[in-house]
Amino acid sequence: MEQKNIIPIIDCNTVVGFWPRRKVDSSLQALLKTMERYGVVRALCVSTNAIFYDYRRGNDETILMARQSNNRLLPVITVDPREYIGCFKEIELRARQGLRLFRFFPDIQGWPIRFAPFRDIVQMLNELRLPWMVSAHAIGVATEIAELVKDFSTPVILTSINYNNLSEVISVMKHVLHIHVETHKLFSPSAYELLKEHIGVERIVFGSFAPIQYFASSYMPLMRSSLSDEEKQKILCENIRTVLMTKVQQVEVVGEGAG
Amino acid sequence: MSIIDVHAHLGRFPFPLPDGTTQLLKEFCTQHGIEKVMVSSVEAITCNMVSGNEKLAREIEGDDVFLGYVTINPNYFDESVAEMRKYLYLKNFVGAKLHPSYSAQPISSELTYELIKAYRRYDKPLLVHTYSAADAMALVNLTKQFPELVVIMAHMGGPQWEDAIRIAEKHPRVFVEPCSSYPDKNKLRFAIDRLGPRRVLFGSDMPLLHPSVTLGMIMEADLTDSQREAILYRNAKHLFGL
Repeated sequence: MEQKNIIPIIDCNTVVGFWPRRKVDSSLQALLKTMERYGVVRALCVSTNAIFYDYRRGNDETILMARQSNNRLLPVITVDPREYIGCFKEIELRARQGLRLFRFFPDIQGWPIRFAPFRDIVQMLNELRLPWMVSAHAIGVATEIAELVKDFSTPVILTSINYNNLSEVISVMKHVLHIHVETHKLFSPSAYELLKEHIGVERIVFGSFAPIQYFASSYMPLMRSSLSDEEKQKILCENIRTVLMTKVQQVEVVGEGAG
Repeated sequence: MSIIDVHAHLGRFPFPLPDGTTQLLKEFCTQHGIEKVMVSSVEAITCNMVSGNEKLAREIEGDDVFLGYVTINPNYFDESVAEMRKYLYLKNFVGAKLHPSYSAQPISSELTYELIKAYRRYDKPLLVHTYSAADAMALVNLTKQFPELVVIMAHMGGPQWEDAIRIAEKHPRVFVEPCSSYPDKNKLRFAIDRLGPRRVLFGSDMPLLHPSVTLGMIMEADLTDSQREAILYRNAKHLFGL
Protein backbone atom coordinates (compact mmCIF):
# COMPACT_ATOMS: atom_id res chain seq x y z
CA MET A 1 0.00 0.00 0.00
CA GLU A 2 2.75 2.43 0.84
CA GLN A 3 4.79 1.67 -2.25
CA LYS A 4 4.79 4.51 -4.66
CA ASN A 5 2.41 3.83 -7.47
CA ILE A 6 3.55 4.04 -11.05
CA ILE A 7 0.62 6.35 -11.75
CA PRO A 8 1.63 9.95 -10.97
CA ILE A 9 -0.70 11.57 -8.47
CA ILE A 10 -1.88 15.15 -8.36
CA ASP A 11 -3.67 15.65 -5.06
CA CYS A 12 -6.14 18.48 -5.53
CA ASN A 13 -7.13 18.83 -1.88
CA THR A 14 -4.39 19.66 0.60
CA VAL A 15 -3.84 22.38 3.18
CA VAL A 16 -0.80 23.72 5.01
CA GLY A 17 -0.60 25.78 8.17
CA PHE A 18 -1.91 25.90 11.71
CA TRP A 19 -5.10 23.85 12.10
CA PRO A 20 -7.12 25.33 14.98
CA ARG A 21 -9.76 22.60 15.24
CA ARG A 22 -7.51 19.93 16.72
CA LYS A 23 -3.83 19.34 17.39
CA VAL A 24 -2.24 17.99 14.23
CA ASP A 25 0.99 18.55 12.35
CA SER A 26 -0.20 20.31 9.21
CA SER A 27 3.11 21.92 8.38
CA LEU A 28 4.61 22.13 4.93
CA GLN A 29 7.08 19.42 5.98
CA ALA A 30 4.26 17.11 7.06
CA LEU A 31 2.52 17.50 3.72
CA LEU A 32 5.72 17.00 1.73
CA LYS A 33 6.47 13.87 3.77
CA THR A 34 3.05 12.42 2.94
CA MET A 35 3.51 13.30 -0.72
CA GLU A 36 6.88 11.59 -0.74
CA ARG A 37 5.50 8.49 0.99
CA TYR A 38 2.74 7.97 -1.58
CA GLY A 39 4.38 9.31 -4.70
CA VAL A 40 2.29 12.47 -5.05
CA VAL A 41 4.02 14.60 -7.66
CA ARG A 42 1.94 17.74 -7.17
CA ALA A 43 -0.54 18.95 -4.58
CA LEU A 44 -3.01 21.77 -4.95
CA CYS A 45 -2.77 23.56 -1.65
CA VAL A 46 -4.42 26.28 0.43
CA SER A 47 -2.93 28.03 3.45
CA THR A 48 -5.05 27.50 6.57
CA ASN A 49 -4.46 31.15 7.40
CA ALA A 50 -6.45 32.02 4.28
CA ILE A 51 -9.32 29.79 5.37
CA PHE A 52 -9.56 30.77 9.02
CA TYR A 53 -8.12 34.27 9.36
CA ASP A 54 -6.97 36.57 6.57
CA TYR A 55 -7.31 35.40 3.00
CA ARG A 56 -4.98 38.04 1.58
CA ARG A 57 -2.13 37.12 3.88
CA GLY A 58 -2.98 33.46 3.58
CA ASN A 59 -2.94 33.55 -0.20
CA ASP A 60 0.49 35.20 -0.07
CA GLU A 61 1.62 32.36 2.20
CA THR A 62 0.22 29.76 -0.18
CA ILE A 63 2.24 31.20 -3.03
CA LEU A 64 5.35 31.41 -0.88
CA MET A 65 4.95 27.79 0.25
CA ALA A 66 4.58 26.70 -3.35
CA ARG A 67 7.95 28.29 -4.05
CA GLN A 68 9.52 26.73 -0.95
CA SER A 69 8.31 23.33 -2.08
CA ASN A 70 10.15 23.65 -5.37
CA ASN A 71 6.74 23.96 -6.94
CA ARG A 72 5.54 20.58 -5.78
CA LEU A 73 2.65 22.57 -4.36
CA LEU A 74 0.36 24.44 -6.69
CA PRO A 75 -1.30 27.43 -5.04
CA VAL A 76 -5.07 27.49 -4.66
CA ILE A 77 -6.56 30.88 -3.85
CA THR A 78 -9.46 31.54 -1.53
CA VAL A 79 -11.53 34.51 -0.46
CA ASP A 80 -14.11 34.74 2.29
CA PRO A 81 -17.52 35.91 0.98
CA ARG A 82 -18.49 37.17 4.45
CA GLU A 83 -16.02 39.98 3.89
CA TYR A 84 -17.27 40.53 0.33
CA ILE A 85 -15.99 44.04 -0.43
CA GLY A 86 -12.30 43.17 -0.81
CA CYS A 87 -12.84 39.83 -2.51
CA PHE A 88 -13.06 41.21 -6.04
CA LYS A 89 -9.79 43.08 -5.84
CA GLU A 90 -8.12 39.94 -4.49
CA ILE A 91 -9.52 37.77 -7.27
CA GLU A 92 -8.45 40.29 -9.86
CA LEU A 93 -4.94 40.44 -8.40
CA ARG A 94 -4.51 36.67 -8.22
CA ALA A 95 -5.93 36.15 -11.69
CA ARG A 96 -3.45 38.71 -12.99
CA GLN A 97 -0.68 36.78 -11.23
CA GLY A 98 -1.73 33.71 -13.18
CA LEU A 99 -3.28 31.61 -10.41
CA ARG A 100 -5.64 29.07 -11.88
CA LEU A 101 -7.84 27.61 -9.15
CA PHE A 102 -10.00 29.16 -6.44
CA ARG A 103 -11.66 27.49 -3.49
CA PHE A 104 -14.41 28.22 -0.95
CA PHE A 105 -15.11 26.89 2.54
CA PRO A 106 -18.78 27.51 3.43
CA ASP A 107 -18.76 24.61 5.89
CA ILE A 108 -15.86 26.02 7.90
CA GLN A 109 -16.74 29.70 7.55
CA GLY A 110 -20.45 29.19 8.17
CA TRP A 111 -22.21 30.80 5.23
CA PRO A 112 -24.87 29.33 2.94
CA ILE A 113 -24.61 28.70 -0.80
CA ARG A 114 -27.69 30.86 -1.34
CA PHE A 115 -25.74 33.94 -0.30
CA ALA A 116 -25.69 37.10 -2.42
CA PRO A 117 -21.96 37.85 -1.87
CA PHE A 118 -21.02 34.34 -2.98
CA ARG A 119 -23.22 34.63 -6.06
CA ASP A 120 -21.40 37.84 -7.09
CA ILE A 121 -17.98 36.28 -6.49
CA VAL A 122 -18.61 33.17 -8.58
CA GLN A 123 -20.12 35.36 -11.27
CA MET A 124 -16.78 37.16 -11.45
CA LEU A 125 -14.84 33.87 -11.56
CA ASN A 126 -17.03 32.70 -14.40
CA GLU A 127 -16.38 35.91 -16.33
CA LEU A 128 -12.64 35.42 -15.81
CA ARG A 129 -13.05 31.75 -16.80
CA LEU A 130 -11.43 30.52 -13.60
CA PRO A 131 -12.39 27.14 -12.11
CA TRP A 132 -13.21 26.80 -8.42
CA MET A 133 -13.79 24.22 -5.70
CA VAL A 134 -16.36 24.27 -2.93
CA SER A 135 -17.47 21.87 -0.23
CA ALA A 136 -20.90 20.30 -0.70
CA HIS A 137 -20.87 18.99 2.81
CA ALA A 138 -24.55 18.32 3.46
CA ILE A 139 -27.63 17.10 1.65
CA GLY A 140 -29.06 19.86 -0.53
CA VAL A 141 -25.85 21.85 -0.91
CA ALA A 142 -24.87 20.25 -4.24
CA THR A 143 -28.34 21.02 -5.62
CA GLU A 144 -27.99 24.67 -4.62
CA ILE A 145 -24.55 24.89 -6.22
CA ALA A 146 -25.88 23.33 -9.42
CA GLU A 147 -28.68 25.88 -9.56
CA LEU A 148 -26.17 28.67 -9.01
CA VAL A 149 -23.80 27.59 -11.79
CA LYS A 150 -26.07 25.97 -14.36
CA ASP A 151 -25.68 28.90 -16.76
CA PHE A 152 -21.94 29.22 -16.19
CA SER A 153 -19.28 27.39 -18.12
CA THR A 154 -16.13 27.18 -16.00
CA PRO A 155 -15.46 23.92 -14.13
CA VAL A 156 -16.69 23.63 -10.54
CA ILE A 157 -15.34 20.91 -8.24
CA LEU A 158 -17.48 19.68 -5.37
CA THR A 159 -15.60 18.37 -2.33
CA SER A 160 -16.76 16.44 0.76
CA ILE A 161 -19.08 14.07 -1.09
CA ASN A 162 -19.92 10.92 0.84
CA TYR A 163 -22.55 8.17 0.69
CA ASN A 164 -25.09 10.55 2.18
CA ASN A 165 -25.13 12.95 -0.78
CA LEU A 166 -23.65 10.79 -3.55
CA SER A 167 -27.00 10.27 -5.27
CA GLU A 168 -27.61 14.03 -5.22
CA VAL A 169 -24.20 14.66 -6.76
CA ILE A 170 -24.78 12.09 -9.49
CA SER A 171 -28.05 13.82 -10.29
CA VAL A 172 -26.54 17.32 -10.47
CA MET A 173 -23.57 16.07 -12.51
CA LYS A 174 -25.96 14.52 -15.03
CA HIS A 175 -27.58 17.89 -15.56
CA VAL A 176 -24.65 20.29 -15.17
CA LEU A 177 -21.75 19.02 -17.21
CA HIS A 178 -19.07 21.33 -15.85
CA ILE A 179 -19.50 20.06 -12.28
CA HIS A 180 -16.74 17.72 -11.08
CA VAL A 181 -16.39 15.68 -7.90
CA GLU A 182 -13.40 15.42 -5.55
CA THR A 183 -12.76 12.21 -3.64
CA HIS A 184 -11.47 12.77 -0.09
CA LYS A 185 -14.72 11.58 1.48
CA LEU A 186 -15.74 9.13 -1.22
CA PHE A 187 -15.59 6.14 1.09
CA SER A 188 -18.49 3.90 0.14
CA PRO A 189 -17.97 0.60 -1.65
CA SER A 190 -18.61 0.87 -5.40
CA ALA A 191 -18.69 4.69 -5.28
CA TYR A 192 -16.20 4.88 -8.15
CA GLU A 193 -17.98 2.19 -10.13
CA LEU A 194 -21.27 4.02 -9.64
CA LEU A 195 -19.87 7.36 -10.74
CA LYS A 196 -18.26 5.72 -13.75
CA GLU A 197 -21.56 4.12 -14.75
CA HIS A 198 -23.63 7.27 -14.42
CA ILE A 199 -21.34 10.18 -15.26
CA GLY A 200 -18.07 8.65 -16.47
CA VAL A 201 -14.63 8.96 -14.86
CA GLU A 202 -13.57 12.17 -16.60
CA ARG A 203 -15.11 14.43 -13.96
CA ILE A 204 -13.68 12.73 -10.89
CA VAL A 205 -10.53 14.29 -9.39
CA PHE A 206 -8.49 12.80 -6.59
CA GLY A 207 -8.09 14.65 -3.30
CA SER A 208 -6.93 13.46 0.12
CA PHE A 209 -7.23 16.45 2.47
CA ALA A 210 -3.70 15.64 3.64
CA PRO A 211 -2.18 16.23 6.09
CA ILE A 212 -5.38 16.69 8.13
CA GLN A 213 -6.78 13.34 7.05
CA TYR A 214 -5.00 10.00 6.52
CA PHE A 215 -3.98 9.93 2.86
CA ALA A 216 -4.46 6.17 2.60
CA SER A 217 -8.13 6.37 3.57
CA SER A 218 -8.98 8.13 0.33
CA TYR A 219 -6.26 6.55 -1.80
CA MET A 220 -6.89 2.88 -1.01
CA PRO A 221 -10.60 2.75 -1.89
CA LEU A 222 -9.75 4.13 -5.35
CA MET A 223 -6.83 1.78 -5.87
CA ARG A 224 -8.89 -1.21 -4.73
CA SER A 225 -11.86 -0.30 -6.92
CA SER A 226 -12.52 -2.28 -10.10
CA LEU A 227 -11.61 0.68 -12.34
CA SER A 228 -8.91 0.08 -14.95
CA ASP A 229 -5.42 1.54 -14.53
CA GLU A 230 -6.23 3.99 -17.30
CA GLU A 231 -9.33 5.18 -15.47
CA LYS A 232 -7.45 5.48 -12.19
CA GLN A 233 -4.81 7.52 -13.98
CA LYS A 234 -7.47 9.94 -15.17
CA ILE A 235 -8.78 10.36 -11.63
CA LEU A 236 -5.36 10.57 -9.98
CA CYS A 237 -3.81 12.95 -12.45
CA GLU A 238 -5.23 13.71 -15.85
CA ASN A 239 -8.67 15.07 -15.02
CA ILE A 240 -7.41 17.85 -12.79
CA ARG A 241 -4.95 18.85 -15.51
CA THR A 242 -7.89 19.20 -17.85
CA VAL A 243 -9.74 21.30 -15.28
CA LEU A 244 -6.80 23.62 -14.98
CA MET A 245 -6.71 23.71 -18.79
CA THR A 246 -2.99 23.53 -18.76
CA LYS A 247 -0.19 21.13 -18.12
CA VAL A 248 1.35 20.89 -14.65
CA GLN A 249 4.64 22.21 -15.94
CA GLN A 250 2.97 25.35 -17.21
CA VAL A 251 1.23 25.92 -13.89
CA GLU A 252 4.57 25.67 -12.14
CA VAL A 253 6.01 28.51 -14.17
CA VAL A 254 2.97 30.68 -13.56
CA GLY A 255 3.03 29.96 -9.82
CA GLU A 256 6.70 30.85 -9.63
CA GLY A 257 6.11 34.31 -10.99
CA ALA A 258 3.17 35.00 -8.75
CA GLY A 259 3.07 37.19 -5.67
CA MET B 1 -1.82 -10.46 8.69
CA SER B 2 -5.25 -11.88 9.58
CA ILE B 3 -8.04 -9.47 10.35
CA ILE B 4 -11.21 -9.67 12.44
CA ASP B 5 -13.83 -7.08 11.59
CA VAL B 6 -16.09 -6.33 14.59
CA HIS B 7 -18.49 -3.94 12.85
CA ALA B 8 -20.30 -4.62 9.58
CA HIS B 9 -23.87 -5.03 8.37
CA LEU B 10 -25.99 -7.26 6.22
CA GLY B 11 -28.78 -5.54 4.35
CA ARG B 12 -29.57 -2.40 2.44
CA PHE B 13 -29.09 1.24 3.45
CA PRO B 14 -31.07 4.03 1.73
CA PHE B 15 -28.00 5.30 -0.12
CA PRO B 16 -26.46 4.51 -3.51
CA LEU B 17 -24.55 1.52 -2.19
CA PRO B 18 -24.35 -2.12 -3.14
CA ASP B 19 -26.61 -4.45 -1.15
CA GLY B 20 -24.84 -5.76 1.91
CA THR B 21 -25.15 -9.41 0.99
CA THR B 22 -23.04 -12.22 2.41
CA GLN B 23 -21.53 -12.58 -1.06
CA LEU B 24 -20.49 -8.92 -1.29
CA LEU B 25 -19.01 -8.90 2.20
CA LYS B 26 -17.12 -12.10 1.48
CA GLU B 27 -15.63 -10.54 -1.65
CA PHE B 28 -14.38 -7.62 0.43
CA CYS B 29 -13.12 -10.00 3.12
CA THR B 30 -11.11 -11.93 0.54
CA GLN B 31 -9.74 -8.73 -1.01
CA HIS B 32 -8.64 -7.34 2.35
CA GLY B 33 -7.60 -10.48 4.24
CA ILE B 34 -10.50 -10.36 6.70
CA GLU B 35 -10.88 -13.75 8.32
CA LYS B 36 -14.05 -13.14 10.32
CA VAL B 37 -16.64 -10.41 10.19
CA MET B 38 -19.24 -9.58 12.83
CA VAL B 39 -22.49 -8.36 11.39
CA SER B 40 -25.78 -6.87 12.46
CA SER B 41 -28.88 -6.53 10.32
CA VAL B 42 -29.62 -3.17 8.68
CA GLU B 43 -33.32 -4.00 8.74
CA ALA B 44 -33.15 -4.75 12.46
CA ILE B 45 -31.29 -1.52 13.24
CA THR B 46 -33.36 0.81 11.10
CA CYS B 47 -36.81 -0.78 11.30
CA ASN B 48 -38.03 -4.22 12.35
CA MET B 49 -35.69 -5.82 14.86
CA VAL B 50 -37.42 -9.20 14.89
CA SER B 51 -37.57 -9.89 11.16
CA GLY B 52 -34.13 -8.36 10.63
CA ASN B 53 -32.50 -10.56 13.27
CA GLU B 54 -34.26 -13.60 11.85
CA LYS B 55 -32.99 -12.99 8.30
CA LEU B 56 -29.49 -12.35 9.55
CA ALA B 57 -29.48 -15.58 11.57
CA ARG B 58 -30.62 -17.50 8.51
CA GLU B 59 -28.01 -15.93 6.24
CA ILE B 60 -25.02 -16.53 8.50
CA GLU B 61 -25.97 -20.00 9.74
CA GLY B 62 -23.24 -22.52 9.05
CA ASP B 63 -20.93 -19.92 7.51
CA ASP B 64 -17.70 -19.65 9.45
CA VAL B 65 -16.78 -16.21 8.06
CA PHE B 66 -19.73 -14.50 9.77
CA LEU B 67 -20.60 -13.96 13.40
CA GLY B 68 -23.77 -12.17 14.41
CA TYR B 69 -24.93 -9.41 16.71
CA VAL B 70 -28.54 -9.53 17.77
CA THR B 71 -30.05 -6.06 17.46
CA ILE B 72 -32.06 -4.88 20.44
CA ASN B 73 -34.34 -1.87 20.70
CA PRO B 74 -35.13 -0.21 24.06
CA ASN B 75 -38.57 0.84 22.78
CA TYR B 76 -39.48 -2.86 22.66
CA PHE B 77 -38.31 -4.28 25.97
CA ASP B 78 -40.17 -7.60 26.01
CA GLU B 79 -39.44 -8.31 22.36
CA SER B 80 -35.76 -7.43 22.85
CA VAL B 81 -35.52 -9.78 25.82
CA ALA B 82 -37.06 -12.51 23.67
CA GLU B 83 -34.58 -11.77 20.86
CA MET B 84 -31.67 -12.03 23.26
CA ARG B 85 -32.97 -15.33 24.56
CA LYS B 86 -33.45 -16.61 21.03
CA TYR B 87 -30.00 -15.75 19.68
CA LEU B 88 -27.47 -15.18 22.40
CA TYR B 89 -27.20 -18.85 23.31
CA LEU B 90 -26.20 -19.64 19.73
CA LYS B 91 -22.49 -20.09 19.17
CA ASN B 92 -22.38 -17.79 16.17
CA PHE B 93 -23.97 -14.80 17.96
CA VAL B 94 -21.27 -12.89 19.77
CA GLY B 95 -23.11 -9.94 21.28
CA ALA B 96 -25.82 -7.34 20.87
CA LYS B 97 -26.05 -4.17 18.83
CA LEU B 98 -27.65 -0.96 20.04
CA HIS B 99 -28.22 1.98 17.70
CA PRO B 100 -29.55 4.96 19.68
CA SER B 101 -30.01 7.18 16.60
CA TYR B 102 -32.32 4.85 14.67
CA SER B 103 -34.31 3.86 17.76
CA ALA B 104 -34.42 7.51 18.89
CA GLN B 105 -33.72 6.20 22.35
CA PRO B 106 -30.65 7.80 23.96
CA ILE B 107 -28.01 5.65 25.62
CA SER B 108 -28.75 7.54 28.83
CA SER B 109 -32.49 6.78 28.81
CA GLU B 110 -34.30 4.77 31.44
CA LEU B 111 -35.50 2.31 28.79
CA THR B 112 -31.94 1.65 27.64
CA TYR B 113 -30.86 1.16 31.24
CA GLU B 114 -33.61 -1.43 31.81
CA LEU B 115 -32.72 -3.28 28.63
CA ILE B 116 -29.01 -3.44 29.44
CA LYS B 117 -29.88 -4.69 32.90
CA ALA B 118 -31.53 -7.63 31.15
CA TYR B 119 -28.64 -8.02 28.68
CA ARG B 120 -25.75 -8.18 31.17
CA ARG B 121 -26.45 -11.78 32.18
CA TYR B 122 -25.32 -13.00 28.77
CA ASP B 123 -21.80 -11.85 29.46
CA LYS B 124 -21.16 -10.79 25.86
CA PRO B 125 -19.88 -7.45 24.51
CA LEU B 126 -22.38 -4.76 23.55
CA LEU B 127 -21.68 -2.83 20.34
CA VAL B 128 -23.10 0.70 20.54
CA HIS B 129 -23.25 3.35 17.82
CA THR B 130 -21.60 6.51 19.18
CA TYR B 131 -21.27 9.64 17.08
CA SER B 132 -20.61 12.35 19.63
CA ALA B 133 -18.82 12.98 22.91
CA ALA B 134 -22.24 12.97 24.58
CA ASP B 135 -22.84 9.42 23.30
CA ALA B 136 -19.43 8.38 24.60
CA MET B 137 -20.15 9.89 28.00
CA ALA B 138 -23.55 8.20 28.21
CA LEU B 139 -21.99 4.85 27.32
CA VAL B 140 -19.28 5.19 29.94
CA ASN B 141 -21.95 6.08 32.50
CA LEU B 142 -23.85 2.95 31.52
CA THR B 143 -20.80 0.76 32.19
CA LYS B 144 -20.44 2.40 35.61
CA GLN B 145 -23.87 1.07 36.50
CA PHE B 146 -23.13 -2.46 35.31
CA PRO B 147 -19.68 -3.52 36.47
CA GLU B 148 -19.72 -6.70 34.39
CA LEU B 149 -20.69 -5.01 31.12
CA VAL B 150 -18.14 -4.77 28.30
CA VAL B 151 -18.96 -2.28 25.54
CA ILE B 152 -17.55 -1.38 22.16
CA MET B 153 -17.81 2.27 21.25
CA ALA B 154 -18.60 1.93 17.52
CA HIS B 155 -17.25 4.86 15.45
CA MET B 156 -15.31 6.04 18.52
CA GLY B 157 -17.48 9.14 18.85
CA GLY B 158 -17.42 10.01 15.10
CA PRO B 159 -16.16 13.56 14.55
CA GLN B 160 -15.69 14.00 18.30
CA TRP B 161 -13.30 11.07 18.60
CA GLU B 162 -10.74 12.99 20.62
CA ASP B 163 -13.23 13.69 23.42
CA ALA B 164 -14.65 10.18 23.16
CA ILE B 165 -11.21 8.66 23.68
CA ARG B 166 -10.53 10.90 26.67
CA ILE B 167 -13.89 9.90 28.14
CA ALA B 168 -13.14 6.20 27.66
CA GLU B 169 -9.59 6.44 28.95
CA LYS B 170 -10.15 5.43 32.57
CA HIS B 171 -12.74 2.76 31.87
CA PRO B 172 -11.06 -0.53 30.98
CA ARG B 173 -14.32 -2.22 29.95
CA VAL B 174 -14.84 0.31 27.17
CA PHE B 175 -13.30 -0.71 23.84
CA VAL B 176 -13.25 1.55 20.79
CA GLU B 177 -13.69 0.90 17.10
CA PRO B 178 -12.65 3.84 14.87
CA CYS B 179 -14.47 3.46 11.54
CA SER B 180 -16.24 6.61 10.34
CA SER B 181 -16.24 9.22 7.60
CA TYR B 182 -13.62 11.10 9.65
CA PRO B 183 -10.27 9.40 9.05
CA ASP B 184 -8.47 12.23 10.78
CA LYS B 185 -4.72 12.00 10.93
CA ASN B 186 -3.33 10.93 14.35
CA LYS B 187 -6.64 9.39 15.39
CA LEU B 188 -5.17 5.91 15.84
CA ARG B 189 -2.01 7.10 17.53
CA PHE B 190 -4.06 9.15 19.96
CA ALA B 191 -6.30 6.17 20.76
CA ILE B 192 -3.33 3.88 21.40
CA ASP B 193 -1.55 6.49 23.53
CA ARG B 194 -4.61 7.03 25.71
CA LEU B 195 -6.19 3.60 25.85
CA GLY B 196 -3.25 1.32 25.27
CA PRO B 197 -3.03 -1.12 22.37
CA ARG B 198 -5.49 -3.66 23.78
CA ARG B 199 -8.72 -1.66 23.65
CA VAL B 200 -8.75 -0.63 20.00
CA LEU B 201 -10.55 -2.89 17.52
CA PHE B 202 -10.90 -2.95 13.76
CA GLY B 203 -14.34 -2.36 12.25
CA SER B 204 -15.16 -1.61 8.63
CA ASP B 205 -18.84 -0.56 8.67
CA MET B 206 -19.33 -2.43 5.39
CA PRO B 207 -21.35 -1.92 3.22
CA LEU B 208 -21.64 1.72 4.24
CA LEU B 209 -17.90 2.28 4.05
CA HIS B 210 -15.19 0.59 2.01
CA PRO B 211 -12.99 -1.49 4.35
CA SER B 212 -9.93 0.31 2.95
CA VAL B 213 -10.96 3.52 4.69
CA THR B 214 -10.25 2.20 8.19
CA LEU B 215 -7.52 -0.16 7.02
CA GLY B 216 -5.86 2.85 5.43
CA MET B 217 -5.88 4.64 8.78
CA ILE B 218 -4.34 1.67 10.54
CA MET B 219 -1.69 1.09 7.89
CA GLU B 220 -0.67 4.75 7.70
CA ALA B 221 -0.73 5.41 11.45
CA ASP B 222 2.52 5.58 13.33
CA LEU B 223 2.18 2.18 15.05
CA THR B 224 4.39 -0.82 15.65
CA ASP B 225 3.63 -4.08 13.85
CA SER B 226 2.55 -5.56 17.15
CA GLN B 227 0.10 -2.72 17.81
CA ARG B 228 -1.27 -3.09 14.29
CA GLU B 229 -1.72 -6.82 14.76
CA ALA B 230 -3.48 -6.22 18.09
CA ILE B 231 -5.96 -3.80 16.53
CA LEU B 232 -6.61 -5.88 13.45
CA TYR B 233 -6.84 -9.29 15.07
CA ARG B 234 -5.61 -10.14 18.56
CA ASN B 235 -7.84 -7.80 20.58
CA ALA B 236 -11.05 -9.04 18.96
CA LYS B 237 -9.94 -12.65 19.29
CA HIS B 238 -9.44 -12.20 23.01
CA LEU B 239 -12.49 -10.05 23.62
CA PHE B 240 -14.88 -12.44 21.89
CA GLY B 241 -13.07 -15.59 22.99
CA LEU B 242 -12.59 -16.83 19.43
